[in-house]
Amino acid sequence: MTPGDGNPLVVGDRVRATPPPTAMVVFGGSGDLAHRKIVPALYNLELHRLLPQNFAMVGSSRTEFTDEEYRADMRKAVEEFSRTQPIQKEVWESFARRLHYVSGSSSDPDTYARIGDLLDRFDRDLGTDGNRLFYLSLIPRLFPDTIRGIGKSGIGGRGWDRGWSRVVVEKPFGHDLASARELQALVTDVFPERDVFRIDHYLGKESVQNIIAFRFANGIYEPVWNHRYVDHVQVTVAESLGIEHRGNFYETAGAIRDIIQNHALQVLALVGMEPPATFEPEDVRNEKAKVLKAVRRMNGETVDRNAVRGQYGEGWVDGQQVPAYREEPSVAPDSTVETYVALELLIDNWRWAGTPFYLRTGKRLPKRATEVVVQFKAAPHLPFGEAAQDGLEPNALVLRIQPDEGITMKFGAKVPGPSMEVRSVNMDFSYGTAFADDLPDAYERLLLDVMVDDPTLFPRWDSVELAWQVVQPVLDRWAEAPPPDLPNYAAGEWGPKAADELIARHQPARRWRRP
Amino acid sequence: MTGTARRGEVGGWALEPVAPADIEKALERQRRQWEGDHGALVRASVANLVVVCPDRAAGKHALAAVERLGPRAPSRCVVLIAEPPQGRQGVRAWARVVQQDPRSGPGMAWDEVVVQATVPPRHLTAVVLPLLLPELPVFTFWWGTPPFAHEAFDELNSVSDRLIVDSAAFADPPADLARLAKAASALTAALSDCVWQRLTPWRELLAAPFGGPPLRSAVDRVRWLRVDTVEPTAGLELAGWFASRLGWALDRAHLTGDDWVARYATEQGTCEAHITQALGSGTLARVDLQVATDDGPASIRVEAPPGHLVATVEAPGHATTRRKVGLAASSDPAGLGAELEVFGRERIFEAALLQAAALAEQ
Repeated sequence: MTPGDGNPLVVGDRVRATPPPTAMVVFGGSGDLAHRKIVPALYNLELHRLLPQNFAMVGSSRTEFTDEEYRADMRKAVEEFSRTQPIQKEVWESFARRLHYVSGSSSDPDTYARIGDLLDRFDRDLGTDGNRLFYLSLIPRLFPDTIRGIGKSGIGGRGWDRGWSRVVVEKPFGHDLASARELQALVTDVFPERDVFRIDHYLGKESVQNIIAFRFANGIYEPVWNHRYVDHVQVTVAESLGIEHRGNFYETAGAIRDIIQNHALQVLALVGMEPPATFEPEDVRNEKAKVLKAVRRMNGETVDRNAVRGQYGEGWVDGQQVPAYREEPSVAPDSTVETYVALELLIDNWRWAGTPFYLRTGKRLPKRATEVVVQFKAAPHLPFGEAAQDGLEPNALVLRIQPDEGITMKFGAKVPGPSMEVRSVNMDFSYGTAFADDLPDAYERLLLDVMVDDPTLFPRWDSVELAWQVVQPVLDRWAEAPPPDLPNYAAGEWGPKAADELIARHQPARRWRRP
Repeated sequence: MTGTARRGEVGGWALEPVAPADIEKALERQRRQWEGDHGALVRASVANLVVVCPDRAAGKHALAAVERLGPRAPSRCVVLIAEPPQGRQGVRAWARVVQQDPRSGPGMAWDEVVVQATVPPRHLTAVVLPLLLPELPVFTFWWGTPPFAHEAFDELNSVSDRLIVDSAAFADPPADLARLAKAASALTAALSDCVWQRLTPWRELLAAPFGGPPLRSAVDRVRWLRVDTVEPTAGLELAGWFASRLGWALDRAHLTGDDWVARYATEQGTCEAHITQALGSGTLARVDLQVATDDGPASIRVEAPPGHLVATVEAPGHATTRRKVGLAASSDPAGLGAELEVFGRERIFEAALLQAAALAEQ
């Protein structure tokens, strides 16, 4: 169903269609994500008149709150984290009346019974129509009890026939391939796959969606988007922040689970996929799965060659002295967890055969930047003479995902003057100078998509499983092989030297682009 | 993005006329001067916006509106004061680069050009064309009532991708709206009305209840519509929207004082519409719908307390729902900025306009 289906006052209009009536339950409703993202996103949807008239939300977690206390807590969260400021008092009050809270343990059947009673009341009094959206904003160990609790209590899941029932699962979806499969079995025991929305907020970013628009709305790039013209592709997810009091989490995750398995590989799939026949969700997801399936799997030996891990030592970032990873709170002093990863991946299909994709991510790098670089091959012959083309590099297309969302094309131009000198210049497109509206937060877009049943931007299980298959050999090898001398890069540097050697080993001219 | 334009920060507002042929050079000089003093400028343009005004007084108002618009829709703005050629003919121009307050966002700059043209109407396009940035759409905004039957109207529309009016500023709003509808049939450019843009939140709130129970199945059973309209054309366009979207046929209508009373034949009976003139500062003051459902009559009411809209839905067997949404304070009260984000024809507006015009002609 698409927004406005059946409502002639909405179909085909640029009036924004609101989703169908919805009752939403946020498990982990008093947690960090609810404060920072979920409730501020809902408030902004309401502010922009994008929530349905018949909408209500229940937050649930162990913390004891009355409805009023919960609303007050969420108001503080919205005041702090909403992208629109200041908070509009009257909109907030109207919205807050539809916020409710149920405290209880995820293992206690009574919690689900009380949530069910509330949802029934919403259906009766607010016209939420039996439509139920369950959002698991939880630490992974609470997933099983919660999913089973929903199923056993009959408040949603398979067999629910009073409306639709959908579940949103936050990343990480599993800790490794085996646990992801276990989780999938558990989730699909209660919800059919079509009702499971695995959220990866990167895919809700406008600039990530623009990768699809850029590739498939422009006729001139697709003919050169292949191994004949592209030398290599870089995907960079760089953060200047450290682990920000998430030592406990990060010690069990590391950069490969935190970023590569989900965000980076999803971006790779968007860059590498074939054109879908339509923009229907399954067509897009099929093409993404195909390209992930074509990523060559590594083994122990190739992991040693094609993967670099790093960990930051103490250094300086943004003018501040920062500690080494091993000195962060809740981090073991001899931790070997990677805070930096660089990978060389090959895609074994007709389009990309022989064109490496380099993925890198790291904490405490010099700046926050996420971007894709499509580095084209050099012109086959340059007639200008060696000295005249010193400053000339091959064409590169840079898709900047965050911050400063936009596109840069690097090309050669004549240097003004009497001689024929050529050097590379940049042609920049910045979202901010062409589209003056504020970019909506990714969670706003994704929550709307769940309500209108559009899973295009949510990874399907086969993509998640394929992504785990890509990284699992790396995790296995690193678990058994002795780590390099860690730390091997200082905070504020662009990662270990081995990463520079990785990208340059086939062609010395290859280097990481400096964002 | 929000921000405030700082008048004359780059090179200062050129009070002396710039020779029309030197406008681009003058803008470039101002940019370089700024960059030399303060650093790089980001030149931003989403469109060419030509604002056509009948005289200097209107031109001043237009320039002030354009200035507020800049941070939201930075464009090459050309304010064209098209005065009738009585006596001496000629073209005078002023140009400036406007820099967004850097405290409000990245250091963006855009161009504003004022041209006072006392030339025969058929030559107005020749005045405007050299000032347009290439490869960007041309939006032509007519300040006040466009001269529908005039050569200048046809000439300038012929180089436009989109014609924008604000029917609230028409001299005789209902009659001019009907003239606009007639002119629309001959236009190659897309057409839009800022009043229609200002109706968007009202239409969203009025449409939303029909997306869920208990009114989902009752959308073709609207029996009564009352619009308390502050801007006369707003009520007409809203009624036109209902009529065109729901397939209503105008059965009969009459004007009582300033109020229209109409009866429409609908698929499931009739709907009576009252469009009543109201006092206020917004576009509409209140809209009431009565809808027949299987369980009895239901109602939707949207009201406009200051800064907000409140939608109330009452239906038998269901609790009353009341929803309050914000009308964000805007530096662009006319809604012109939102119009600059629309490319292509607005067929739903065009259909509503035809129905509104049918009512206005009564």
